[in-house]
This record gives sequence, C-alpha cells and structure tokens, in this order.
Amino acid sequence: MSGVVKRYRVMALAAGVMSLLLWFVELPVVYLIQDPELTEKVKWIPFVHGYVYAFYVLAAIHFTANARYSIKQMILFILAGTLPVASFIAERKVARSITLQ
Amino acid sequence: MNRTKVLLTAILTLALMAIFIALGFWQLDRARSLKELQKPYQEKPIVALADIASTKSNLSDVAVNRIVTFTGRYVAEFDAPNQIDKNEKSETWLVGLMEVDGGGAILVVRTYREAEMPKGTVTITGRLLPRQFDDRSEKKEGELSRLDPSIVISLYPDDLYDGFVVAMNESVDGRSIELPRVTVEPARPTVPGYYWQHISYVVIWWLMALVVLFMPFYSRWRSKR
Repeated sequence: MSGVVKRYRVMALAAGVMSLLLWFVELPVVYLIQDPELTEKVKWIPFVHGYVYAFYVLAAIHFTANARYSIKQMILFILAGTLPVASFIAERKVARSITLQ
Repeated sequence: MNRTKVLLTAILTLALMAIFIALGFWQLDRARSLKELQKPYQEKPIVALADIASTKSNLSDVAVNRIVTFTGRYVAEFDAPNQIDKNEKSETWLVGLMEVDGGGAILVVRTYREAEMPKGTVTITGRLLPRQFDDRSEKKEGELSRLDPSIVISLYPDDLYDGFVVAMNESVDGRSIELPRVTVEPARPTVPGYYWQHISYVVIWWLMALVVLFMPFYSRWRSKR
C-alpha cells in the first residue's frame, strides 16, 4: 500500500472518529445537557476536529489526484470528512479497491 | 474548452474563492472578538443609552457591560424570581419597564425587595447587560421568568431596547432614591466557541479557497494525462 493511500486511510478514520465525537458527544453536551463542567471537558473536540479535517482535506486531494479521480469524486471525498460515517464509508471503498487490484 | 466556458469557470472559481475567504475572515473576526471579550472587563466612561444602543437592533458586543445613563418614566413593574447576583445569592429582583425619553422602553432591575415605583421622570445610571435566554422560573402574571424584553413585548406598544439595565442609581429631580442595589458581575463573552476552534475554521475556509483555485488546473492536468 503506497504512502498516499495509507495517509488517506489514516486521516479518513481520524476524521470519522472526530466527526462522531463532535456530532454525538460535543454538540449534545453543549446544546442539550448544558452542564458547564461537562462542556469544559469536551471543549477540545471542536478544535481538534477542525485541524484533523484540514489535514483530511489535504490527504483526500493528494489521494484522489494520485488515483486520477474526477473532480466530482474529489469533491465527494473532501465532503465525506464532514459527516460522521461518510469518511468511514470512503475509507472502506478505498480499502476494497486496493484489495481488488 | 471554448472561451465562454473558460470565462464561466473563472467567474465561478473567483466567486467561490471570495465566499470562502470571506468566511475565513468572519471566523478570524470571531476569534479576535472572543479573545477581546475574555480579557478582564475594563470599566469605560458612562455613556448615554441612546449613544450605544437602539430599539431597532440587537445589543452589540461593544454595548454589553457599559454603564449607561438615561431618563424616563416607569410604566410597569414585575418580579423576577430566582435571579442570581454577584454573591451567588438567589433572590427575587424588582424590575421596572421604563419608557425612555426619546422613544422606546427598557427593562430596569431596581432592587431586591419591594419598593415604591417612583412617579414622574427618573434618571437611571446602571450597567447594560444582554438579555437572558433561559427561564429562571415558571411563567406567571406579574413575573418575568427571565430578563428578556421579548416577554413584555405585548405590554408595550412602542419598540423595546434589547437587553436590560441593572440600576446602580435612580434619581428624581436630582435626589437619589435610597434602595439596596443589585450587584452583578459583567456579562461573560457572547461569542460561542473557543479561540483555537475559530482559528481551525479559518484554516479550513482558506484551504477550501485554495482547493477551489486548484480545481480548474487539476481538471486540465487530468485531461492532458
């Protein structure tokens, strides 16, 4: 497995985990539970998610350009990092295509 | 690629880049505001209410916590239960709805206990604070469940100022009204989120602008290959 693919897969998993934490831990704590003590404990999630997503975008562009994907596919790969499970699905697709090759 | 297509691609690319760059600047501005608001509050000179607030707009960040002065007359009075002061003490506050000279009305926190509502023109000096969003008590007639002008909107025909004032002094004809005054801490920052979170969004938006710029070149490079 090339470094480009490996980097993309690692970043896809990291972005997926951070999205899950953001959607299902940080947002409910801040906007539903509204407990200041808990809010303090989860405040690292949004900004770690922000930086992880920036690196995910770079990894996705590098991977899709390397694989000569179309612009539409590249945009879908970039957007996959914004939804909790989409980046996991994208990562599985990449892993499957490598296995088939 | 014909010229029209090139032109349209260039316009779309520039428009998207402009949007992403503007969004980055917006997040940068929020990060700066957050940092500014987190500094210990420095008292500024007393200012006339009408100079920093208006009935036509929401309270701005620069108006929050300012000590303001204005004159007017009380038109209604309410109890605001379960309000917490600087000493973390939960009390019922006496709140008046004051019709401000020059137009509009504003909620004024007067004191902790029952007090006679002054008649005639009253001069107020007090701290301007943002409206409360969470109810402190159940909704009852004559009571304010939270200090929020939207609750009294049906009781006053004219426009209302956003936020409320915690009176430090009330005077009638130059004579100060002696009452135990509510003391409150300056309001906390109103910009949600954290500094480095906003900075990370700046990075993302500007990265997106670069991605948009890269797309047409990528398309040409890909078709050549």
